[in-house]
Amino acid sequence: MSILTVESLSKSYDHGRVHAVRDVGFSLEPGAAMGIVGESGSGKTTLSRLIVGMEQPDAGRIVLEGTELGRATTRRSRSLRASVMQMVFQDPYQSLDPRQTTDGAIGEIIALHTPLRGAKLAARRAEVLDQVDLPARARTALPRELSGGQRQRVAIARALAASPKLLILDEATSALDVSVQAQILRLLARIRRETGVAILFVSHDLEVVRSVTDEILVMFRGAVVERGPTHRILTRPEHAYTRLLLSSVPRLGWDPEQVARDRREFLRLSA
Amino acid sequence: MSATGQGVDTGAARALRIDGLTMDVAGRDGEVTRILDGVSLDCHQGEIVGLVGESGSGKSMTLRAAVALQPAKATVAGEVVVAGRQLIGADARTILEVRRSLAAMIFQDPRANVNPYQTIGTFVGEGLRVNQGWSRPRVRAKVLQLLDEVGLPDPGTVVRRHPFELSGGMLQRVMIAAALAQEPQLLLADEATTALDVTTQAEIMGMLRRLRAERGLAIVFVTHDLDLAISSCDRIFVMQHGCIVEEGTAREIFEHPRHPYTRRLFDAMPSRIDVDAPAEKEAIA
Repeated sequence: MSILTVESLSKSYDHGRVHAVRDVGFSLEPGAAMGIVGESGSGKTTLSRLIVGMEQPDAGRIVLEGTELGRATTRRSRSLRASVMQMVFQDPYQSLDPRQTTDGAIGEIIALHTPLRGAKLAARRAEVLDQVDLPARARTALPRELSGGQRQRVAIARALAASPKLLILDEATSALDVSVQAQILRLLARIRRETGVAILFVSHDLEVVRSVTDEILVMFRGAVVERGPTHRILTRPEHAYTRLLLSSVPRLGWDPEQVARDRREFLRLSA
Repeated sequence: MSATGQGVDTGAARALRIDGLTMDVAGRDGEVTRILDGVSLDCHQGEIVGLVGESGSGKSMTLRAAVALQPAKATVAGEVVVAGRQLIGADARTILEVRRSLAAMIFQDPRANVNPYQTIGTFVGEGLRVNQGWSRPRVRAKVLQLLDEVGLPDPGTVVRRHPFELSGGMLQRVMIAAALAQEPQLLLADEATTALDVTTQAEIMGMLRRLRAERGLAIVFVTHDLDLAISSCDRIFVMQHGCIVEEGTAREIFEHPRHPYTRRLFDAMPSRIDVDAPAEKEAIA
């Protein structure tokens, strides 16, 4: 049974004038890792917000481990959702409580989702923090006392504390320095190997998605334009938009003006 | 066609020369930290120079020193020369001249650097009106020409817009137009495309390269993205802990990175990272 199935999902804003997500469908097997790639306005963030229930779809179904998610959100349905999937955002500064220490932030989630208390809770908390390689002194620190990479590790630990089966990462490494980004990508790959958690990695950068996913979904103006194994998408892209995204990645001998011309031509044809 | 590899010793005038720049900042406890340690770099007219390093390497501080924007409490030594004007120890008039008409700076987040209540037209033309005392019609004509030059469609409409009505990519074009208004010789770009989508980044880089060719602009491009620097800069300086650890043409750095830190930066690029490689014990940043 797939862990997540999305069928004909659509969402529009502004009285139907803006189609953020159009007729999107896919399914994710347990332990799989999929990248959702597109530029600003492609609908990739709206899609992830629909999946976690931060937005309600206009049409379509979201099935989580065989159970269709209803429209009404009750405390119970939210808790069920949260025990299966957790989300990590781009800016941990905005998703972490500035007045809560790392230990507090992780302990709170464990208390909410498990019956563990006292010494058992502390043991589980230490286990989660070990998974993300946080040094001991970071555990009593407030978000502002941590580096950007450490804060993102706390956000990932917080997501893992609920023992989810699916981790949704929305541009989770985009604000980090390259070497810190590399550490977080390695960390995600290792967590996936060790815990078998499935990953949905949302990003505008095909190269970033490359290292942590098996499959890629390319979105343009709310619709999926190409889908396939990561290696194939990156080496033999079929859709013109995927080729445009790939040619936008800087490298020696790059011609950004040609990329800009190709982009204008593509936008003209798809208008 | 590629920009890389050119402009190394063109004989063109040097728009920026930094020589042995050292900067010390005293903390609250009186302890002095050296944040720049003997930094030397230069940038000729018509050249794009990349300054690459991570947070805290001193790359932004080096860039700021080129317009005398170092922290007030900092002690600086060495030479910073913009278009022939020495900035270290310079009087207020020289500094003002450099900032107004010789060097301009653009930043990572354009939205944090515009007045949200001003129209785009007022913002871009402000320097010309206030500093140069140009008449309104003359400013307007120049603003329209600048907006067209940075590739904004329909400049006549854009001048009446406010920042919130523009996307990040469009607003960064507006910032570049404002930076070019007083015809500087030197453009300092601090992570100017980091917050943008890859496709928009390509458009901005294409435009900077065109401006360099058409105006003979000297551009110092600060970034943490080594692939981006390799793709677009003529020469690259790699910075770590306040020092330049390696310099060379983009091709030299790409093909034969000599310093271990440069090689580590390459290995961290998403195009090369191997997540399954046995993780060396890395310092948790």
